This record gives sequence, C-alpha cells and structure tokens, in this order.
Amino acid sequence: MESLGYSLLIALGAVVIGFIIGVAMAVIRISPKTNPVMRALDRFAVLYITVIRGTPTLVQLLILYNSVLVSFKSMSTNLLVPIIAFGINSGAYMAEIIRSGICSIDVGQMEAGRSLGLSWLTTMRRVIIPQAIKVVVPAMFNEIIILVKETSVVSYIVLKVGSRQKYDLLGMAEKQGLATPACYLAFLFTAAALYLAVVMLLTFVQHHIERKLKKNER
Amino acid sequence: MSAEKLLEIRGLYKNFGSLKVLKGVSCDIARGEKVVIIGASGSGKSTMLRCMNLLENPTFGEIWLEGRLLTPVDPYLHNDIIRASRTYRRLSAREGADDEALIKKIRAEDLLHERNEGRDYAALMRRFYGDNYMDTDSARARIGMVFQHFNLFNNLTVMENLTLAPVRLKRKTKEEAEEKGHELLKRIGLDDKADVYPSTLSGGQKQRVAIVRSLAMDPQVILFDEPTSALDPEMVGEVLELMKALADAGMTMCVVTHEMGFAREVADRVLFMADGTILESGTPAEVFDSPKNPRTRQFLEAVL
Ligand SMILES: Nc1ncnc2c1ncn2[C@@H]1O[C@H](COP(=O)(O)OP(=O)(O)O)[C@@H](O)[C@H]1O
Ligand SMILES: [Mg+2]
Repeated sequence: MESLGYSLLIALGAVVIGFIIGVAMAVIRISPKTNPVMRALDRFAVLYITVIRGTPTLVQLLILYNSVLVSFKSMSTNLLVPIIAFGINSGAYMAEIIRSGICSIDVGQMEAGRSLGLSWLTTMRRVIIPQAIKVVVPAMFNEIIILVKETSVVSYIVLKVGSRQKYDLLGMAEKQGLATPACYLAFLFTAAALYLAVVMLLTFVQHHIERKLKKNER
Repeated sequence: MSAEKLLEIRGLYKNFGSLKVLKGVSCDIARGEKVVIIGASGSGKSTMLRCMNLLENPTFGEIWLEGRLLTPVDPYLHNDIIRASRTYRRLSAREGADDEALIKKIRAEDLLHERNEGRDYAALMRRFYGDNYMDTDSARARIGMVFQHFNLFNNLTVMENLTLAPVRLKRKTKEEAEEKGHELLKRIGLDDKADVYPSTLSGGQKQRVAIVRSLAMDPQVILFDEPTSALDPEMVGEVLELMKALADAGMTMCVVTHEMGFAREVADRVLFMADGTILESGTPAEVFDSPKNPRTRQFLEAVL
C-alpha cells in the first residue's frame, strides 16, 4: 500500500510540473512572434518538444538520474528525481495538447475579439481558452492516465526516502516476487489491479468534468 | 485632413509573401457615407476591409481614421519626408534640381532605407507619427466589423456577446451595457434570446446578433464582409433589412457584397475591384447602368 502511495506521489508531482511546463511552452508556441526573444524561446520550445517526444521515457529517466540530477541522487530522499524527470517528459506532451486545443478554435473567434478592440490576452482569456478547455480536458486526462502507468519505470532506479530504500507499485511486486517466486504472478496481478483502480477513478473524474463543461452550453 | 473624411486609405499595398494582393488602393469614406465594394472572388475585397481595421498589416500605405494615423507613416506618401532624406539630397546634388522627377524616381524605385536617411528624416517621421497616431485597439473599438461567418463568441450567451467588449474596454458599466444590449436586441426582435448560446440561433439570427454586437461599441463606421454569403436564401432578407435600417439611421458603412439590389438601393458609391485595384468608382447608377471599364461590364453581365 505504501508503494501505491509512492507511485501516486510521483505521478502527482509530475503532473503538476508537467502542467506548468506545458502551459509555459504552449504559451510560447502560440503567442505572436514579434521580437527576437520570443522567436528564440519558440525555437527552444520546439527543440524541447521534439527531443522529449522522440525518445523513450525510460531513457530520459536514466539519463537525468545519472547526469543533471546526480546531486539529488545522493541525497537521503531522492523522490524528486523521478518527479522532475516525469514532469519534464509530460510537459512536452501537455504543451502539444494545450497548443493543439487552442489552435482547434476557429481563428474567427480571435478576429472577432480583436475587431471589437479587445486585446490578444483578453480575447484569449475570455473567449479562446474557455472553448479550448473543452477540447483539452479529454486529451489531458489521457496523458495523466498514461503518466500514472508510466511511473512504473521508476523501478529501474533506487528510490530512497530518509536513506531507506522504497518501492513503487511495480518495484514492490518485483521485490516480493524475488522473495517468494511461487507467488510472483499473483503480485504482478495485484499491482495491475491497483493501477486499473486508479485509472478507473481518473476516468470517473474525467467524465464528471466533461459533463459539467457540457452543461455550460445551450 | 478635412473633417468630413472619416476613413481615408492612401496608397495601400498588401503582399502575402510573393503574392501581391492589393496594388495601391486609395479611397475616402465620408461620415454617413455608404460604400459598397463589388468584384470577383480573389480580387482583394476582404483583404482591403481587413487592412482597414488592421486585422492584416498593410505592406505599404496609410490608413487614417478621423484624421489620425493607424498605420506607420509611409514616407513615400509625403514629399516633405522624402525631401528630408539623404537619398534625396544625394540625388539632387548629383542629378540636378527637378524636384518632382526626383521624388517620382525615389518612389518608383523604392530608394529609401529607413536606417540611413539621416536625422532630419527620422525626426520628421517621428513627429509625423507621434502627432497623428491612434493605437490599433482604440481604432478597432471605433471600427465595427461584421464577418461572413458571424464569429459570435460560442462560449458566451447572446447578451454576453454584446456586453463583453464595451464592459472590458470601460466604455460602459455592466448595467449600462446590458440596458443597451436589451435595447439592441429588441430592435432586432431577439430580446427573448438574450440568455441563450449562439449555437441555438439560426444563421440569420446569428448575423443580426453579430451586427448589433458591433453596434454595442457605438462604432464610427461598420465594415461588412459578405454578410449574407453564408446564409440560406430565406434568411438573406432579414439581414439586409437590418443593414438598410442602419443605413437609414445614418451609420457610415463599407459593405463587400454580391447583393446588387442592396448596392443599388443603399450605396452612395459603388467601387469595383479587380486584381487588387479599384477599377471603377461611382454612384450605383453610373457603375451599374453605364460602366466605363470593360472589366466592370464583364463582371456585371456575369452576376446580373
Ligand atoms: N492570409 C492570407 N495568406 C495568403 N494569401 C491570402 C491570405 N488572405 C488572402 N489571400 C489571397 O489574397 C487574394 C485575395 O483574397 P481576398 O481579399 O479574400 O479576396 P476577395 O475577398 O475579393 O475574394 C486571394 O488570392 C487569396 O488567396
Ligand atoms: Mg472575401
């Protein structure tokens, strides 16, 4: 049960970081490129999204674990390593989800806002984003669900909390399987069932939000 | 700038990459005047309207609203600015003094280079711009626009569509805006629809709401880009009726349309556009009954 907690904690932290990065990157990608700074940021965002989406999550995790985040690695609690790694990973996907959601809104909506004298930002806030949210929510939950399951690759690294080794859901199943090989499959099924339960809960929340958003129209 | 000119378009060029869409359009619209623009598809009518409220940035040229400049200064349109340039001084020293020919040459060959034209030139540009400038958002707030596809805000109710801009831009308080909103909706017989979302309206209703949405900002002029082209035939009439009522009430209007009956009845002036220029301009009687340009004649024969 403690291991489920670590899996969820890593996923939750990654979602928060990913969402912040995703929003920032999406804003950079869609805002008007009127000056060199914005253009440079835009090129950086494109590079980031391309690299992250083009390489496996596990490879990214191991690279970060053994390079940039190596100082976290030696700390007594290193949960931040997978949280940051998955956050950076998820940020790229979320950026694309948000960007494509906003791009899916008819350009006429922005033009109508601007033609009335509203600023780009006001039109974004009052007209475009409220419409884009409806498109973005399902894809966003999809990404969160994938992320929850993908945190299982942390079992490749050694998790430490207060200098004691800890395990995520899959890691725990592996550990118990080594101790009692006869029950290995049963442990794996238990882990699978727990993942499934979390995903079903998320799906329930998703449908609830979607229904609420739909009620807001007509 | 005489006071009666509300909107003035001078030497407007617009390129999309290498595609030259507007090739030097000039036209004045007086306060209260109704101008109808006709022309074949692709001739640049929409682009011209969209340049007027800067939804597109003109490549060259100037747009003036109520005597104030909306675009950057176009140095080629001002002889005194050309004369202040180094290029002019260099050429006049070398080639002699025919002022007019020099200016023409500089203009035709695009010889000015912002950065190298010296202090006098820069100062003049700056003064000219600073003294006369109106920022884009204020200009847009004074220029209404009605689109072919209505572009009502889908996430807002009809009333919110009408009040968002006036309230956000502090033209009115929320109460004033809603009062005006109800008044406008009553005028088009849709007051009972104030709290519904646009998706429940018919095309004709949407377009009429879009028209009163622009009216809610008390614009000086309204631009219409084919306002009835996306409507089912039975709904065209109600929209044209509303536009006629606006015209009768003295609104300044610039309308791109294929409704020749409307043009004949309402227009003070009809412009015929082809290939990014205005080929013919005159009263409806002049343009429709005795077109001077063969291209105009051809177009009218095809559509009438
Ligand atoms: N944003 C744009 N980018 C590139 N080309 C454009 C754009 N807008 C219009 N054009 C081109 O400009 C030409 C004139 O278009 P438009 O002004 O819409 O004509 P009209 O309204 O008279 O039919 C067309 O050839 C069109 O393809
Ligand atoms: Mg058009």
